[in-house]
Amino acid sequence: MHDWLLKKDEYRPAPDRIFFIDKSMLSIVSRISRLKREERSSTSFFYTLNPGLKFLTTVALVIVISFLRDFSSVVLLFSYFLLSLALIDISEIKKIIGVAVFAFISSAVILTPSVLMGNFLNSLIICIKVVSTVMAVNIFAYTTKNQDVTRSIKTLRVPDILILVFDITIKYIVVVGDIAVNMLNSLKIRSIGKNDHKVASLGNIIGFLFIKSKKFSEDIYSSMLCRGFNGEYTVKESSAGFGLYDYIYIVVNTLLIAGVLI
Amino acid sequence: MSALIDITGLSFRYSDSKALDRVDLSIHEGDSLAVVGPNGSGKSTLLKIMNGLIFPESGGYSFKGVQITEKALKEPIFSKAFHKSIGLVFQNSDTQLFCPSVYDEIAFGPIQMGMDEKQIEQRVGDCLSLLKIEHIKDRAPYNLSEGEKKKVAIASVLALNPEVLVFDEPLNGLDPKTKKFLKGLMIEVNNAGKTIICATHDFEHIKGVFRKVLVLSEDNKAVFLGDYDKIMNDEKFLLQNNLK
Repeated sequence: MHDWLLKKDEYRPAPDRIFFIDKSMLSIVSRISRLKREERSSTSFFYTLNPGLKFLTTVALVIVISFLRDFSSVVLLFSYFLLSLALIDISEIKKIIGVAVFAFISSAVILTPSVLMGNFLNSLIICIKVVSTVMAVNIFAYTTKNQDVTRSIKTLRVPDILILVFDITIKYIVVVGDIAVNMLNSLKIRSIGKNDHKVASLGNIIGFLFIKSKKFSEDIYSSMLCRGFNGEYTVKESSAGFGLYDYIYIVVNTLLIAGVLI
Repeated sequence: MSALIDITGLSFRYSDSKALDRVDLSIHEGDSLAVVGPNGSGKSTLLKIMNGLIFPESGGYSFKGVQITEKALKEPIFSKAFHKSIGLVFQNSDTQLFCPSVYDEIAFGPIQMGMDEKQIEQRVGDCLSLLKIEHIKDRAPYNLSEGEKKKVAIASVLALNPEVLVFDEPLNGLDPKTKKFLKGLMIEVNNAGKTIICATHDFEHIKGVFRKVLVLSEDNKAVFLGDYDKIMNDEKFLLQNNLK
């Protein structure tokens, strides 16, 4: 055993900022945790709806709101989305409102010249349309399991192979994200002094993740070949039936769409 | 003699499940402790808490008499000194290695410690020879075999000269020769005065390395803390706790 290993180092760390590691880690962890939202225990209205029905209705509402020109109809749909928002879990309401507020501010900034030119009402309609669309998509995303999201795309006759790619992508974002968090943890606990090459360290981690992702994709393709994959993949359509809530949802949305279009 | 690591009533939960339930543990300088338990018993979680990567829901953890909390580790100087004192060898070596070459990987710590070129070269050379990996010093870590990656990961932690070495399932996926080598290394490092803590399933290969053992049960409680040989010869206890 070498001498230096037999005695304690006289070492006092030099001051250095390492918060970039924590910040990177937090941002990855929060994104992964959103993708991991699989275990839904909520039995409230939106969470129990048929995913395919919810998906089709969301698409229909987004198309309808994009066609609307009348201020009162736009406000009516916006109110409907606000009401829908009130029916989901409080923690998710906060997140959706956060995204919606950001969307509103972004579109308001973009439309500022238009407002200054006197197109206040049209600009307001566009802003409300943007916020409503963001809310509609987020309500669907937050109240539907990832696997149901991909299955529900099937109702639009999206090719199965694309759904497979989508499924695998979601799964491996989580896997690679976990690896990224562990690597940042490793960087954090080995950053015991002054690191003058922080960007290089992060660059190395990103490079490694790229190599790892490539290996994952090769392995998964090999494993698919070993299990008889021949380019054809069949996604089973969601087998969830319709319940009382689904019929209520259909009636309300049909009346709403008919009301704003007529 | 006061304990180096003192854990009292420590509990931890992940969002959907319990990971540790009121665990008590105290480790003295120079101790060698194996943390054993079935899958999901909280071994890795305990090691992560010991290394200040996550923080307990309740209970306390103190290192050299100082409480390790999220707030305490937000202080950069303290955080660096703490991480210098306790090194973790991750279960998956891939996630531990992020430098372009094995040499850079091992030199990462000494460079940060502000050592001069000669000292760094000596320390890295010593670690390479100790782990018998001189021949791969210029290779990229991601191209190595699992055994070589593990050795590089250990060398990169040893280069920091920590007082405590924590191993998370170090023998997983390694061939018998590498396992034997790592067993010898752990004994050697412990004899050099370092405290070693190791989570493992591999009882056969760690015989003679540890003096103490902490057994975690399937319901995440500490069911035994004491003499390693005594408990590892208790067939009934091992079967009861899904260890055999």
